[in-house]
Amino acid sequence: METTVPRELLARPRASRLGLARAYQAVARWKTLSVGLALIALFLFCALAAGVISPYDPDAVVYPDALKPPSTAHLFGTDDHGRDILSRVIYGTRVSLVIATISVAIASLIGIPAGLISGYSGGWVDGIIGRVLDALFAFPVILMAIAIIAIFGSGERSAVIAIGLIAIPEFARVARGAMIAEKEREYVLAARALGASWARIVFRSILPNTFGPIMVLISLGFAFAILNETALSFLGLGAQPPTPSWGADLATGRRYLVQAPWYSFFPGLAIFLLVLALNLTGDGLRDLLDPRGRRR
Amino acid sequence: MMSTYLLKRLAAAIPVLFLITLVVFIVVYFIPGDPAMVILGHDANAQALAAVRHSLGLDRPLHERYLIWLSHVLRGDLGLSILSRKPVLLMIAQALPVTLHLVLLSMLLAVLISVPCGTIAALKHNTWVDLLVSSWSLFGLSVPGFWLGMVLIYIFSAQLKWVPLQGYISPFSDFWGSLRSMALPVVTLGVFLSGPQTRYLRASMLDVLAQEHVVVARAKGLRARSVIARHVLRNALIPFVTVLGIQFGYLLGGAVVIEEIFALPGLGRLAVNGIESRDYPVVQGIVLVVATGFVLVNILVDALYSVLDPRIRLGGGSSH
Repeated sequence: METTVPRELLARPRASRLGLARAYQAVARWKTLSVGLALIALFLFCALAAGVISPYDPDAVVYPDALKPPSTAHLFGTDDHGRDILSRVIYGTRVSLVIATISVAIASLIGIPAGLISGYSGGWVDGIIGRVLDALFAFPVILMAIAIIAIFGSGERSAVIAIGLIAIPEFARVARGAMIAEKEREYVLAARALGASWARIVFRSILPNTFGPIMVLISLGFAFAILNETALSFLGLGAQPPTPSWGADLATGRRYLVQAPWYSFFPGLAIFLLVLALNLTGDGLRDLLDPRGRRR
Repeated sequence: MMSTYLLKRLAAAIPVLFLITLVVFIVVYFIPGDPAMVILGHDANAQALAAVRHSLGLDRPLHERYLIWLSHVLRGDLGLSILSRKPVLLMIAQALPVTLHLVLLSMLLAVLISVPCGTIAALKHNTWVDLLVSSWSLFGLSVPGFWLGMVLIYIFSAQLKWVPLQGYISPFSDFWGSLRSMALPVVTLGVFLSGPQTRYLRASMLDVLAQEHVVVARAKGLRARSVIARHVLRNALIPFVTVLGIQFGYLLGGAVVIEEIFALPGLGRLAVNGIESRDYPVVQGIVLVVATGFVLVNILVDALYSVLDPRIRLGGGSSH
């Protein structure tokens, strides 16, 4: 266990500078989180400012420029239709982030309340929800996602639904665990003794206290959603051409792997960096919210 | 004791397995498309279509169809493929060895990477070695398997020509050819699996290293190697085995993308083809087999706990 008091904490900065000093300390101390958040900010910027920062129109077909290697004119090279790969990677950020955001929202809105209610109720309610979760956990997520897409048909909307639905068991499991850890705490017993309703106790008292593990879960859930979205698009089940999509572009680039390796390399690199950023953020948040495990 | 425990766990798994059959049936039921039309083609007349629907039992109410299907499943009959008219069980039996071959070799490689890496990282905690290993595990957790596979194909197949581009060779027909053809898929999946494995083993070893009995063993002056082997690694392997069990169960059907990239005729590919061609008995059969396999593997993993740690009394309100 760390016993020495950091020098910065002994110093007393002036009140006006306290906020900045704290922010600096936090950034310096939580390098993992800072690097992760900085990378996410970069991807968010790409998604929001795609129209401004993209050097070319991602859909502009210029056949004479087809399959050109990276150069100063096209930093990431061009695809089989002569489209600029850098521009498509920048626009592809939008597709991945939008699908991941909506699917994580679906998983959170269904999985978290189900897990909280299951953990809080115990007894037969927990028994039933637990059994259903056990059954859902037994399905390989990607196979389940493919089956769900088969119901709704290929496309971005189906991918959103599938990725959201397959993440529900994990969201419910973590929320249930967090609830079980919290529900015997004194503030919950006090709220119960004061006659608060179960809904008030679960959603107003306990939910804010399970914020830590749930934030970590959401961050890692995003990474999971991005990997699944790109995998589904790669299999031709998610975003469909000509929409700029990392997974779909990677799949098309696969046909030209030998003659134009850059075609599939850069979309894949973008997926890797975004997932890495989300994992770094998840790890950083875990360190920040669980000081006991910080040195782990 | 062990057999009683296994029987109890199997009994407890029955409702879960029942729910699995229900989920499989409902999901496949909602997949659009008319199997009768798949068999007869789009220009078939209404009468012929109705006759085929009747012979397949598709004109019965949903609950009846489920009960009939379940009774067949319980007798080991997964039905016939709509397209090839082959027994689904046979198709699964042909694809399963390919998937098992891929998954077992990949897991072996991942364990060969993660056990030494996780152990060294925990022992050299907060040093550059730890940082290096943690970075490796983060890489494994973040790299998309299909991208890594393509990069490896480009380097080792297209450029260096060390291994064939795609395809599967059975180890029973050509052992060395099989090893070469499986090298890239195994490395791709092995790297992907080693990420979470290394992370879990490292965290689990750090927990054990901080426990009193290890501190006491060290204070008693026992040799470091003996403390690590007898006190630390043995205890740290318990949560690690859980991770292996979950990964194995998941990969039975979850290696779809790797099978797709390397053109391996495994379960995942069979399922994707089944969904694309609306061959629902094949999809039902695969998902059912894979999910049941997952549940059974988890029960076996739980049973393995007692072998690794005799303090855990199976079924007796143990500490795990």
